Amino acid sequence: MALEDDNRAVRDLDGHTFYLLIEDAGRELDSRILVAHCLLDRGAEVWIGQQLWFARNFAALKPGAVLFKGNNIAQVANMRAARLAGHRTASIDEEMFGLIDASGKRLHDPRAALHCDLFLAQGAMQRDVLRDGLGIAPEKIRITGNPRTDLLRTPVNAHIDAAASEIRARTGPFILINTNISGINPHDQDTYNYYRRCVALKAIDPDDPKSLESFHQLCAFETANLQAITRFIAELRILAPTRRIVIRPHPAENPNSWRNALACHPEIMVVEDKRHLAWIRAADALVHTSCTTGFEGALLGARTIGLVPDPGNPFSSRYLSNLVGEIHHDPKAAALALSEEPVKISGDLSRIAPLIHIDNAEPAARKIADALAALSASAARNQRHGHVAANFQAFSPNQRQQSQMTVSETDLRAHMNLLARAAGSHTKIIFETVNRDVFRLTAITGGTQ
Amino acid sequence: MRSNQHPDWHAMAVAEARRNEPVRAFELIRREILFDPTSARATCDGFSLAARAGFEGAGKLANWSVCTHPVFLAAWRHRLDRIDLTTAPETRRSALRRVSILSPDRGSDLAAAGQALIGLSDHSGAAKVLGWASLLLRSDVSTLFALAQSRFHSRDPAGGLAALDRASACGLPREQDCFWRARLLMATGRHNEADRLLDEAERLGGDLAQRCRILRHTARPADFEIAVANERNPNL
Repeated sequence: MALEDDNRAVRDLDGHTFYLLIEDAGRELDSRILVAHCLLDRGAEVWIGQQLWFARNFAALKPGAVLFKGNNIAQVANMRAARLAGHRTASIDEEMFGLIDASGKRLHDPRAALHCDLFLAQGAMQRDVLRDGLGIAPEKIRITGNPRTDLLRTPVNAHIDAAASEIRARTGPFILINTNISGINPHDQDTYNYYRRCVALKAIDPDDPKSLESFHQLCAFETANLQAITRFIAELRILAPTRRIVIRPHPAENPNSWRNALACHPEIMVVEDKRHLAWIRAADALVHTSCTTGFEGALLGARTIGLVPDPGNPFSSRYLSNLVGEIHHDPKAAALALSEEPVKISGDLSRIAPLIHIDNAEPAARKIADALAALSASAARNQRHGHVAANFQAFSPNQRQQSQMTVSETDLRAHMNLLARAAGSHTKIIFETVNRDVFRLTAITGGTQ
Repeated sequence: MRSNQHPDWHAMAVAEARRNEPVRAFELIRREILFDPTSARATCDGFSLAARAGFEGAGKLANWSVCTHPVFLAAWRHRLDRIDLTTAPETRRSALRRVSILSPDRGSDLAAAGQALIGLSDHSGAAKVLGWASLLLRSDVSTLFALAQSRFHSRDPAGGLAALDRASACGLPREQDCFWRARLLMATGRHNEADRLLDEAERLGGDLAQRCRILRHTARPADFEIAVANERNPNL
């Protein structure tokens, strides 16, 4: 990826293979595409797609560097399988993105220290957690930032504009409310199911009273947030009755709870569109309740209003989104603020610098590509065979997995072209669909667009 | 060749399987099972080979009746207790769903398969198989209770309540009934009734009280309505 001043055209990764695994396309696909462009520009072969397909097929794949989306128990089990098959493993914790403190460390299975060769930290805070809290050797940690921030910065953020214009033309002016109450309004019916999922991922220890109490605090936090949102809407309808409101529930929520309750309010739309950045860009303002999208919106330059109804709850101080933009404890005050001129918010990001590394000179995607390239060198030395396509096992996603990760080759081409244009990459790419939601990308030797 | 001059069909079957010839391998292992129906090793491998030959093999079994032989059914039952956890989940799921074909009149087989499907999070498959099992095991509490749970997870709360009624009539412990009935009632929108049951369950204490406390966090339809009094937090 030739971002800004990059003139590198060195094909130093010929013969190297990289696997970029995705759990949730809405969250990760575009950032993985940025990394893929950086690697393809250097002559590498890149596989991208459904993480669970890769988990079944590591042994049939040529050894390379595998990028996982986190360090929880499920990811670590797959890291082990990858290493047994001769691959090298790296992780970038997508669950940490947007968090202030180290409470996300419950998402780290201690065996990650054994099975992960390289930890890509989003900032100094995460590096310290990995090093001091989990005992990861410093040489296995690289601070790279997260390429999700690259997507929000010039020049790459230009890719959002076309979609934002289309949304704006269709919807007209609107206030966007991004909700994030997937604990008390989960897609799988009730909070007990959500709790069981957290236990399965070892995010909660059911035998630890502190861990259980933290879970109850999370639910209380979400309940207060839900009340603040409904109160905010009620206040805004009094102050600006004709103002259009768009509610975009978190993908892990049950959107029907909102649909059913708001069916009799035609001025309020509920959308499930995965293009969350485009919706933020199209909106007059984004209202959120400690949601990561508040942080993303601030980096995009959008007006963001955070509702923090219960500042005493420990979860209210866990999120980066509450360090940027306008913050209100009282929903009525937030509604009033929206009917007035926006407060001038400083664009200074130094306050969040230790939490998330943003380097204006070099994007996170390129730092990650460099780190993966170094990791790949050892995998290449270990290389014994090529891909054994005849041994590939099929993977049939369930409904939930489909909703998280369904990408057609057409979609992938469109996203890659859009981001290549925005990032200035000119490498010609051959696309091959290996399996549903799994793609092999190779750069044409000597080819540029 | 064995010492008693019978061919070692088991070893021959394994060799065929290694050559990726599952149908031939199955035919050989079937002979082994008929020769020695008490061999746990042979019955286990027979089941695996049948699954591969019947469900995955390049040449699928031409005649399913071979699998309905009583000896093979014995192997099947033996295998159900020891289903290979290293097998890919898709293969296990597919094999377990075939229980209805192989063993339509054996409620215990169907119940075991249903329970195994729950373990694989295939709740709609489990609900179907356990529904058949419950017709054969009309007063088996564990089957009826598992049916109620699988129907809840496959979003059929009314059906789940019906199964739970039957399970309770057959002696399901009250605390289990309270918790699961509350979940099923919440899923049908009957929150007041669910609350009363959760109150009762919480009084029973222990782990159940903790589970009830967690369940109570679930947002109700009224919580999403705008311009309503915030009863939970009057400060807002």
